[in-house]
Amino acid sequence: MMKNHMKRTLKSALLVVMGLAVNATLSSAFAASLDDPVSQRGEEIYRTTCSNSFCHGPGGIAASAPRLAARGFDALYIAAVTANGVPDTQMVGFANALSSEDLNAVLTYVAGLNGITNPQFTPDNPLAGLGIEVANPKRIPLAGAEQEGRELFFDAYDKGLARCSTCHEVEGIGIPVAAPILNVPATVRALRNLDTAAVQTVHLGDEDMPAVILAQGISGTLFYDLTVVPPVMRTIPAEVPLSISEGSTWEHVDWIGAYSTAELEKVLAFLRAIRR
Amino acid sequence: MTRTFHNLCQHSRHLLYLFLLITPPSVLSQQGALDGATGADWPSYGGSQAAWRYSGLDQVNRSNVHQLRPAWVFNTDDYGDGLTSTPIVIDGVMYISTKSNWIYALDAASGEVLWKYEHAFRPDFVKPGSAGAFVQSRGVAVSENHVIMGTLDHALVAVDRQTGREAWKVYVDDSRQCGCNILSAPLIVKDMVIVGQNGGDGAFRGYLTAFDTETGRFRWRFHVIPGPGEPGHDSWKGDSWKYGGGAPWMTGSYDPELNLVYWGTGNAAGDFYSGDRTPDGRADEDGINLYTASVVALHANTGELAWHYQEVPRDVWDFDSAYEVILMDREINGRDRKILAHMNKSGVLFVLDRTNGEYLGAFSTTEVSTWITGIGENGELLGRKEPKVGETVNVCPTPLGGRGWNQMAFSPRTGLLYSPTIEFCTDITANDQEAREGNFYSSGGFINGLPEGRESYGHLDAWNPVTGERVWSVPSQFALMASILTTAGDLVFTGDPEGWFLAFDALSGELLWQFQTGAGHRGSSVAYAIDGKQFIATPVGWQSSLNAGMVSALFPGETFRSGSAMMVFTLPEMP
Ligand code: HEC
Repeated sequence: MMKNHMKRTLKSALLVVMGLAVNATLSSAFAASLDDPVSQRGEEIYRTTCSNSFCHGPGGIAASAPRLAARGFDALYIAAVTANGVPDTQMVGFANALSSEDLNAVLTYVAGLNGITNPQFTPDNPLAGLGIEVANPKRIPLAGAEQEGRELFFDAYDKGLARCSTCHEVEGIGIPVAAPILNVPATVRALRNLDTAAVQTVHLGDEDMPAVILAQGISGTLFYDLTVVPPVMRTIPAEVPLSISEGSTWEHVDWIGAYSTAELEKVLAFLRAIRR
Repeated sequence: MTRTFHNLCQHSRHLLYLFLLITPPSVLSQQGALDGATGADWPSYGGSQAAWRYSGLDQVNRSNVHQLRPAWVFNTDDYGDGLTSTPIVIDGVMYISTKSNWIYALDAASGEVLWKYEHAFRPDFVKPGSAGAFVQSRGVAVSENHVIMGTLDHALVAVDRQTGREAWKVYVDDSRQCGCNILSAPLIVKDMVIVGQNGGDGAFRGYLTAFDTETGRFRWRFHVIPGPGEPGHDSWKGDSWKYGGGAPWMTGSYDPELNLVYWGTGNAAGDFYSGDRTPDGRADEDGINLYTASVVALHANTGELAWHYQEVPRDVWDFDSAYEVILMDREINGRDRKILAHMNKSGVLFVLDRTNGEYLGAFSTTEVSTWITGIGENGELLGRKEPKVGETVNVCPTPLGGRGWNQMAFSPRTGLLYSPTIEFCTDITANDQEAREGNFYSSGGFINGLPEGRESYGHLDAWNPVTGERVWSVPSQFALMASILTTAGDLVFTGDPEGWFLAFDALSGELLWQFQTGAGHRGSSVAYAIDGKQFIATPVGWQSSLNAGMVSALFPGETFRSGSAMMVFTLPEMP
């Protein structure tokens, strides 16, 4: 009466053999496409971003995501999907994540996996002329102090939670606790002594906390509590007594202490550069 | 039916581990011994904070389990990638999270919805090319006033237990930068909620963070990888500490008496190549890439490291040690000891003294194991078979694990650990990939297959953690990807990919009852009681992403049914 849930026939050994066979076919059929430096660079990008057990697998042989090799894709299709992703799937767009040079390289590599040896993307703007529109413009290339400032702004290692992007979203990265940065202070001194009128004081029970109010309505109050980092988004229902007063004891300077003056100069240079 | 016992010698079991633990099984009887059983509630991810996944309820037992019948079924309406969570049950209310980060509060007696919460994601939160593309939710934690869940956009969100309204939300990090997200259930420890993150195979520096359960305010952070100037930093070469992974991606445990939090940490990244992260001249025995692939014990109040035990120094197999840490008190060589049992993806189960991290013993739970030839007296890995750059090396088990993240259970009545084992080997080809912050950093690829001569992919085993003896083993055609529940009714419950929910005799492994639930099992079943009536609940719904890609090699030619339902069983009313 009980089904033996353990019994079933097996096709396993086959699988190993098949896996290896696919691998071998690929490397021989398309080895030629790896001769040029662009495809080589593309293969490198592919390995760091597209190929792993959870995505397309080494050489495009498929892993958790579909196979990319020998699918008969044309160059336009490869570019469009790589740039903007596939809606409602885990395939996200890479147009903003990769530099033009790297995007060109990886497109060339995947084209090679589909037997297109000379796809002719425009290297400094591989999507140009293909009629592909990218949702958000990519990060502009920066150099020197401006680029260093960018790295400092998002620095998860030396600055950790004390980094600027803990409270500011810039170039699509960071937590937007504060409103988008519109005015870049002229000097580090001005940055430290910012007038922070948007920070108010929430009185809740017997506690006062510095807060950026996001919304107030009949159902309650939504705000960022700035007592510690990372700031906490709180929702206090209307039935809980709460009052808000202008101003606070919160000062911007206390939260950017992880940065030296020289570093803040660079961060300001970065913020100015992306506004140009 | 007759059970098929597996012949231990049938396969290439060439590992002979040294057993320092030679005392026969003892009955847990000491006064004041740690009690990890649950009662009417199932309050924590692992049942209790000791992670036993053991219910002290015995109304349903070996003699009447065959009478179990459905009490209610709840479909979550969130289909696609199965229901992988462990429900939490407190005071007759069941809390479950679904793959899109919805939370339901259900009347645990009837399945009626009390409230529903849907997390709102930030736009574009998945970093291209990162581990952050995983979609799952393995469960919530429940504090006095809140139900707390980690999210796919790397926030921790707390909703009011009574109303389901959002109370606080904190972005633990920006998923678009770290390429990480949170799939695991958080752990409540006193007035704090502690959570890790997914991202073990990413160029990222993993950590655990504790927040105040009431306000969401930051309390402490423990970086798995020590920063410059901290002890252990010198176990990393150059800048590799920034990208070394180690994300603690499952849920830890807590010993209130020692006030220590225990957590398993992820593997070092890049996964299969250690050349870029190994300091010149440093020996594996000194610990390389600390504190990845380790069990760490942290002082609960501060998050400071009390001790660590690195199971896989300089990991090159993606053998995460991120799995659950099971705390128990056992008698060893005539002495009552506070120990922990912990298995990593290699399928090797380590037993440590949980007061100080002292190595007590280890044994392999997989029958086929070739990654090492044995384990030395002090727990050192002998005869490491390492992947090589540009060459293909076959090792067993695979980076998928000698067991998945689905968890074991421990019964104090039988003194046995119940574990679903996977027998699988892999061809790994390593490369010396360059790290990019937040991106996948696997340094290689792998192709899996069954070990030679084997016909089935898994088995459900009962292990004595003190002697390393396998007391019984039941083969399973397919790898079992659901956690184990054991109860004081001396039952062991789990589900299989084909949709069978199964009850075994905890003493003998005999299959006593099974029920076809209609979809594969990837979650974790629990037991609870309401007004003296015991219920057994199991999530149903295969993780459909396992039907494709690397993991699908475990199930060649098969696609199991997805779905997302909670299915609850009970005994019929007495006449
Ligand atoms: C703990 C949170 C926090 C951190 C960290 C932080 N800021 Fe701010 N910042 C704020 C808040 C809040 C405001 C808005 C104050 C106001 O408008 O009243 C602000 C305002 C600003 C402004 C003014 C924007 C405008 O348009 O007026 C600039 C510029 C700025 N921050 C730059 C930085 C830089 C650079 C860093 C890193 C060195 C940094 N911030 C770190 C919270 C933070």
